[in-house]
Formats: sequence, structure tokens, C-alpha cells
Amino acid sequence: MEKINFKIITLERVVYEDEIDQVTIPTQAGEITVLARHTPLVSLLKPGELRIKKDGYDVLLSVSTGFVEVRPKSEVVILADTAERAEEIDLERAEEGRRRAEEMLKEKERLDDVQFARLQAQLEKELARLKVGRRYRKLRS
Amino acid sequence: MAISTKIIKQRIRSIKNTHKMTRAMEMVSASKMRKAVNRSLASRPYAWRALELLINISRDRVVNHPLMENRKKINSVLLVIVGSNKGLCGSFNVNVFRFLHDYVKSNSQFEIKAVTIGRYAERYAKKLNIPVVGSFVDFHEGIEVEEVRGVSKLVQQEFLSGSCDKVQLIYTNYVSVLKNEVINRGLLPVHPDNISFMIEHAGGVKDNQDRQSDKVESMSLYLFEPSEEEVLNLVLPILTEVQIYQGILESQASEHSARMMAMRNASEAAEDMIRELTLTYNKARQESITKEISEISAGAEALRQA
Repeated sequence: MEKINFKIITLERVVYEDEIDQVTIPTQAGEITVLARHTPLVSLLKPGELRIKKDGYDVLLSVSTGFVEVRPKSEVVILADTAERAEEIDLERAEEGRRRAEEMLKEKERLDDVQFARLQAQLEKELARLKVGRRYRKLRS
Repeated sequence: MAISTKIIKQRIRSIKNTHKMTRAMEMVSASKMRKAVNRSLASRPYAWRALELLINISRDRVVNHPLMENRKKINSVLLVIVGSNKGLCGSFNVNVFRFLHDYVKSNSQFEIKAVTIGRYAERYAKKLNIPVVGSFVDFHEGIEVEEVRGVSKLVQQEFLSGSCDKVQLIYTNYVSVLKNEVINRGLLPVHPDNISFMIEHAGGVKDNQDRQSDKVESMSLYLFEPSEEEVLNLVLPILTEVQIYQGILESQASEHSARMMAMRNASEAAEDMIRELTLTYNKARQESITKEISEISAGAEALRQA
């Protein structure tokens, strides 16, 4: 089967780079699955779970916002603000982060728009991490 | 030799203390410098891909966006100046200042404004009577790209509102420990050449290994989801942000390397002084002993003769 040249990059590092069979990406317009020879596409990434299929096994990643670029000749580049492999996710810390963000969101009246938006984004990111982290644990056990 | 041994001893001790401090600062700076260089290099792949994305989508069509608008008549220039927060870093800030001074002199036809990063940058801008639109002084070593967002927002607002027609970034590029250079480059309007220049110079390494944009292949049109405008609305600010971020990291690397060299010189000077003072101390000590002995023997001689 034809492979996709896949890369996911953040400002800090290249998180994952490999030849893969298919990838399912959460975007603002809904979840998309990219196979080899997909038509060129630019889309916006949404916080959530990114699934990669390669040689019959799955790789899970949690991502936040960013860009998805599907290039010609089966190349996919994702520029993410943050991205983590499922095995790197610390569930306790993610839970803690979610709780903190939720608590701060409760004091809505005292926040200005920018802070509110930032917290909302933070919360979404933590939720994505939790989801991916939990699923990974379940798959392993 | 009138200097008493006690005073010399005190001086030696105090210089030894200073020496210890400069040594420590030298080592701290060395490790901070390494970190800043690594981070600047780590952000390179991201910056490249973002640039490629821009090139790819602008290949088959004319891309229009307010942030890419090349204005014909330039009245006002906004400078983003990166300096340091702390002193004791040799010629680092002086170089930026000198550059700024020359720039202002040779560009007097424009109205010049500044956004400063670092206390020293702010101070210099004020000294040269450049109006400071914004000043950011709380960037530290572990700087995250989100922290730069405020700077890039301000700069974009200034540009979009028309209160400046061009934005330039002035920072110190880290070439090697011994060599840093002050660089002045375009930030807005966004232009692919500006960005590729920035990335190539990152971390003082000028290889093109990461570069893949030469692979011009497809003529097939890109699909945009949700729309071209929305994608550009996100890509362009991020490219601006990444550039400022890299500029700050480069400047930090240069600052730390300048400080490291300054501290190394100070340590060496302290070592020389200690050596000299020890010599003087030994001489003074010997002298006083000789004097004492001669006094005692003179006394003994006097007693014997009596």
C-alpha cells in the first residue's frame, strides 16, 4: 500500500515523523481521514485526538490548534501549537490542568474576553489530552 | 614598602570573591547561551513549514491580505528593537545602540517609532528621542511563543491601522561565541524572502538541510477549509510571531555569549591582580621580617656593648 510521508511539528520539536498508511485529523470543519494521494488541502486543526495507522497498528496523539497541510505526492504536514504522543501524556497532570481551567472559567465575570478565550482553549486542550491519554491506557490494558 | 600587609591581604580576599562571582556568571551564561541557541534551532523546522505553506498557497494565485500589503509611499517606520534587561554583558547593548543611532541618522526622512524589548532597548530609544509605542521588559530565558503574542499583536495593529507603513526588526544575530552581528530586517508587510532570511540565519548555522521549498512540483490547486481568508488570517500572524520569537532567542544567545566573554575577561583580570598582589604581599611581609630581625639584632648588639 502506498505510504504517506507524515510530519507533525511544534515550535519546540518534531513530535512525530514517519511513513504511514492513513491519518485521521480533527479539523475545524470536522474530522478528516487522509489516505495516500489525497488532494492538496489546507485546513485548521482543532484540539482533539489524532489517529495514525501504520502497518496495522495505531499511534495516538493529542493535539491543540494549528494547521494541516496536505501536499501533493502524499505528504502531510501538521503545524501544531502543542502535540503529544499518547504515551507521553501524564493523566494526573492533565486532570489537574482541566480542573484549574474549569475553576477559573467559573469566575467568568472577572475575566476579560482575551483571558476567557485563552482559558477556553486551554480547557479544550486538556480535555483532548485526557481523552487521548485514557484511550491509550485502555488499549494497553 | 609602606603598605601594611593587612591591607594587601584584605584586597586579595576581596578580589578573590569577585573572581568567584565572575567565574560563576561565566558558567551560568555559557549554559543559558546553549539553551537559547538550541531553542532557536528547534523552532526552525516549524518556521520552514509555515513558510512553505505560505509559498505553496501563493504559487497559483495572487494572495491578498492586509498584512501583505506593500505600500507605495512609506511615511512612517516602526522598529522592533531587541535589547537586554540586565547589564554586565560587554558590548551587546552598545552595538544595538550604535546601529540604532546610525539608522536614525540615515533615515531622517521617515517618521520613526519603536517597540522595545528589554530595559536597555527602551532606555536607548528614549535617549534618541524615538517615541516608544510599547515596551516589553518581562521576557526571561524560558520564553514561550505565547508570550510574544502581545508584541506581535501590537505590531500588527500599528501596521493595519496605518500608523506605520513598514515594520523592521532589529536584533542581534548569534553567529558564534565571538561573533554577533546586529541585524535589521523587514517584519511587515509579510514577504517570503524576509522569512527565509530569518530562518537561514537562525542559530548561526547557514546550512540549507531543512530547506525543501525548492521542490516546486504541483500546479494543482489547494483546497481551503474553511476558507483561504481564514487560513491566511491565522498563518500570517503566526509567521510574524515566530520571527519575533526567533529574534528574541537569537538576541538572548548573543547576550549570554557577550556576558560570558565579558565575565571571562573579568576573571582573567582578577587572576592577574591576585598574582601581582600576592607578590607585593610577600615582599612586604619579607621586608617587615627583615626589619624586625635587624631591630632585634641591633638591640642585642647594643645590650652586649653596654
